[in-house]
Formats: sequence, C-alpha cells, structure tokens
Amino acid sequence: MDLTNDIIRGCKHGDRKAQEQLYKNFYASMINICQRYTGNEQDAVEVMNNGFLKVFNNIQRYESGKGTLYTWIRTVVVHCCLDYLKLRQRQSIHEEIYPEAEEIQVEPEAISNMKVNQLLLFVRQLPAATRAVINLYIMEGYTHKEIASILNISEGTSKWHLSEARKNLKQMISLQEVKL
Amino acid sequence: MKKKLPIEEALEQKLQQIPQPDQETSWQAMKLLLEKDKRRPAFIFRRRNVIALLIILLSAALLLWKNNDRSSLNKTAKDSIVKQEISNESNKNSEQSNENQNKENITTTTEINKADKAVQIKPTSSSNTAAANSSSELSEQTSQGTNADGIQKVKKKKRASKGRLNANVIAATLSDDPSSVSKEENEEKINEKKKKKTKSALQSNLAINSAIPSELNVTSAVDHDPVMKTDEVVSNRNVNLLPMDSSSNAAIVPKMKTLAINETIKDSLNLSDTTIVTNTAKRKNDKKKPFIFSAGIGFKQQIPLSQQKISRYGFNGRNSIVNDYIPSVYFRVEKEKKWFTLLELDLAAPRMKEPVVYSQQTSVNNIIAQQKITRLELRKIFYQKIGLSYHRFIKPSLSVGAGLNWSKLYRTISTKNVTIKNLQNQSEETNTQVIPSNFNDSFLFKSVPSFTLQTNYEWRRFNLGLRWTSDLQPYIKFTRPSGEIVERKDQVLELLLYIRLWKSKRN
Repeated sequence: MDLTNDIIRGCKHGDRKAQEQLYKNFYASMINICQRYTGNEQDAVEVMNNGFLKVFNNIQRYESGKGTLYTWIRTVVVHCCLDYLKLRQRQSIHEEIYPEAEEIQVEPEAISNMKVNQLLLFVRQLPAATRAVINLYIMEGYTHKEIASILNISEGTSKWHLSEARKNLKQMISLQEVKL
Repeated sequence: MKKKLPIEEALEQKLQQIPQPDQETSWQAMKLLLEKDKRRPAFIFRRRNVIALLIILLSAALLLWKNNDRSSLNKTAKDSIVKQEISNESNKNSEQSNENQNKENITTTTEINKADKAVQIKPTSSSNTAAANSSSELSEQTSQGTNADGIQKVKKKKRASKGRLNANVIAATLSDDPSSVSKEENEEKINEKKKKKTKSALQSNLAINSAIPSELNVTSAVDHDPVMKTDEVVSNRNVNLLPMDSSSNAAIVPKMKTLAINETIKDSLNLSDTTIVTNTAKRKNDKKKPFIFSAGIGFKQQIPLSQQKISRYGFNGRNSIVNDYIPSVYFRVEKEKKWFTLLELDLAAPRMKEPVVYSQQTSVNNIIAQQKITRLELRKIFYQKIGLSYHRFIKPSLSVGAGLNWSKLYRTISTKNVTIKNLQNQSEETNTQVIPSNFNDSFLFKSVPSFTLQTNYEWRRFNLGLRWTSDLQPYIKFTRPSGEIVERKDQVLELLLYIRLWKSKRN
C-alpha cells in the first residue's frame, strides 16, 4: 500500500521512475484488455500507451477512497479502447434490428481446446461495435444498460450485438472444429 | 441477474491467456510518448488553437475597423460640411475685402484730391468710424454670445451708436454747408432703415449659424448690408486682431495691415480648403467602394471526373441523395466590384470517388467446396469542410479566385461484396451491402488540405460558380498484397450556386 502511495506521489511529481513502475505493474492486465478490443498488437500497445498517458496526466484526479488504482486505470484504458473502436467502427450501430441468433451448439471444451491466438483472431474479426459489446459484457462484466449508456446506443441494440457476437463466434468456432 | 453462457465463461478464461507483447519495448514507446507530450506546447499555443484565435482576432479587428471607419466617415462628412461653409464664407469675405480695398483706395484719393472739402468729408468719415465702432462693439457683443440676451444688448448698443450718430449729425449741421447737412440727414435716414434690416438679418443669422464662429456670423450679417460694406467690414473682421481707433486717419494703417492679414488668412483657408477637398475626395472614393459584408448558402453538384462514379447513397447509408445537398454556409467580405474573400463552411460535403477496393478476404472451405470472397470497396467520402478563398473581379459580374480548403473526414460509404463460389459447379452468389461508417481507418487520412480555383458569375443575389479542387495530400494510403504502397490524391470539379441571404448596408 505504501509502495502504491509512493508510486502515485512520484507520478504526481512527474517522476519517470515512478511512472515506469506504475506502467509495468499494470502492464499485463491492461495490454490484455487492449488486445481484445483492438485489431492487432501494435494498435493494442498504442491504445494502452494513450491510456497510460491519460493516467499520468490526470493522476491528481484519482481518489483512493472511491476505488482501487487498478479499477481507475482499467476504466481509463477501456474508454480509450472504446474511443479507438468508435473511430474504426465499420458497421452502423443505429440499426434496431434484432434477428434471432441461429442456434449452433458449441461445447465449452471446444474453446478450451482452441489456441488462444485463434480465439483472439475470431474476436478481432467481429465488427467493431459487436466486439465492443462482447468485451464489455463478457470480459468487463457490464450490463446491457451500462453498455448502452457507454456506447450511446439502446439496450436493444446492445443485446442484438451480443447475439450477433455469439452467433458469429459459434459459427467461426464450429467451422474451425470442422477443419480440425 | 446477468447470465453467462458456458461458452462465454470458457471464452473469458481463455482470453486471459493472451500472449503479451514485449513489456520493455512498450515502455520505450511510452517514454517517447511522454517526452513528446512534455514538448507539446500549452493548450493556447497549439497550432489549431492559434489558427482559430487568429481567425477570431482578425474577424473582430475587421468588424471594429469597419465600425470605426463608418463613424469616422460620418464625422468627417460633418466636418467637411462645416469646413465647406467656412471656406464659402472666407471666399465671400475675401471678395468683400477686395471690394473694400478698392473702395478705400477711392476714399483716400478723394480725401487727398478734395482737401478743400475736408470739413464736409470729415463728419462723414467720423460718422462712418462711429458706425464702425458701433458695429465693432456689436460684433464683440455677438461674439460673446448668441442668445436672446446678447441680441437685446446689441439692440441697446445700437441705440447708443444711433445717439452718437445723431451727435455727429448735429456737429455736421453746425458746419458751414447747409446742403451737406440735408444730404447727410437723408443718408442717415437711409442708413437707419438699412440697419434695421441688418438687425433682423443678424438675428436670423445668429439663430441659424450658432455653430459657426461668431466673427463669421457678424461678417456674414454685415455682408448683407450694402451700407456697411466699407470700413465697417474691415473693422468687423479685425475685432479680435486689431484695436480700433476712432479717428479715420489712424484706422487707415491698421486697415492696410488687416488686409494683409486677411490675405494670409484667405491663403491659409484656401490651402486648407484644398487639403479638405482632396481628403473629402479620397473619402468619397472610399465611400464609393466600401466593404460589403454578406452571407448566404451554397449548393454544389460534383461533376464526375475520370473514373469517379456517382453514388446514390447518403452518409447514413440510405438510398437517397438528399443528404448530398445540405447547403453550405458562406460569409463574404467584398470591396465593391474589386475583390472579395469567401469563407465557406460545408457540413457533410460528399465526394464521389473512383471505387477503391481496400480490403479483400478469401476463405476456402474444402469440406463443402466453397470459396468466400469478402471485398470492401470505398465509394463515397463525406467531409466537414472549411474553405477560405480570395477572388478578384475581372468583369463587373465575373470573378476568378483561388483558395485553400481543409476537409475533415466525417463518414464513408463502402460496399461490402460477399461472393460465395461453389467450387464444384462454379456457381457464384454475390451479396452487396452498403456500409456507412464514421471510422477513419488507418488507410484513410483524417484531414485533407486542398487547393481550389474558382470562377463565379454574379447575378443579383445569385452567384453561379465552377470550382476545381485538388488535394494537397493523399486521402487514402493502403498496401496491396504484393507489398506495394498505394496513395491516391483526388481532384474534384463542382458546379456551385450561392444564394445571398444577408448583405450589410452600404456606408
């Protein structure tokens, strides 16, 4: 705790060593988030660095009473990822169409047996908005209401994106299974 | 309560194991970013902000300058009116003084030639001097004030002078020649009548020309009186310049000096008149060609060049071209029939493009013997555009100009063609989907500066134009599978129609 406080104090004073410590402490978790949202490794590093830049520039605003440093940094980085996706969003997220997802059965074991890189590739192949929704819903644990508020879409659209994501992922995984 | 499917839980767990890029390399990139951020100028000194600030300051200065120019023009117009009146008066006075000079010469020669009749002349000259004294007092009085009290005082003084005149007349009656007395009596009566007229004229002049210096008022009043056009005029003009002597002989020398001074005043007035005239002429010219501010809306239609294709999709992806005709807003500053500058703001300005395939994915499913090709093709780009151009009139209604535009990427229209090919029977099925997006992917440049050449023809509030725009940098950059980097610049030809909605009034 004291170490964290020292790091925060150092970062507030612009101490490069403290900044490095903070960066390296949270690197693993943050790069993981960024990799899921972005299309490739380079973009992931770029987005994460932008997030950390915001963290360093606004560390004075961090209040330890409101939450842990990890939660605060994660929120900043996730928002950076969403900004990235908004800029690269390929499909309109304003369509209010909710077709029923095709029922394709995929066993969880199939996922476990898959290579991580392959799975990540599938996630990255999803349209930007859909990728954002699935990440926020499955990985970050947000509800549809919260996602709707973050992405400025309706709850229904968020649900539709999730359904699309499920459908597409199942399809891709099943195809992969077949190939294997 | 949120429900996660087993597959999602497995997915979550699996995605936690994503291999990470090298931490040290990332930190080096971070360090560079931090250094760059440190060197970044303060918010106010950033290039965009400085440009915005400069534009605001320039427009504010322009508006202020315009307002000042208008008020100064009004002021100078008033001044020039007053000065013109002064110059007119001075011209009149100079003419009058010339006449007086001639008359004086005549009077002095008669005094010399008719030395034997000095007794007859002297009372006349003394009466004239007395009248001159009275009128000088009168002018002094009028110079003190232009109100009714002043006029009443003038009346009193006039009565006193009248008394003095009578005394002179009595003195003249005591002289030897009775005929001269009768003549003088007649002259006095005529003078009295004319002075009454002068008094009324004086009152009217006082009322009208209260703003003009009092000396001139009196002079102009005296000018109306043919009787007072001799010594009185000269003495009147010298109220503030020379002390008056009651004796006619003493008055001659100062009179001559006065005439000389009057000449210099006249010259100076004439000089100042010429400067005033030139200044007013300049201002009149300025007035003739003032700055005219106007604002309105503009419509445009792109004419396809080379391989550019018309796309009927709006920025929302709907099959409608209504969005293409969102009018632009312009603001114009014009030096009448000489030149004008045009600031134009164009929201969601469409640009037809030659179709560019920027993404192609091919997947083959050997089990079902199917090939799937997904192609993304860029069809149309929408920009938020701001342009500044300068135009010169080559004919009264025809102008040519050049300018710079800055376009910010707003949206794009792409088509997604999914072709499914059956490898067994070679049948093909293609689905085309229009994808509107507000992304600016790495292959598209966020902002594109461009150069424009434009010609306009004006008719009343309408302005028809033709504009050619050429990008100063590529709008797209992508890598082909062969590794070749492709950059494309664009050229646009547009037909324009501006409609003026507001125009500032002429000064």
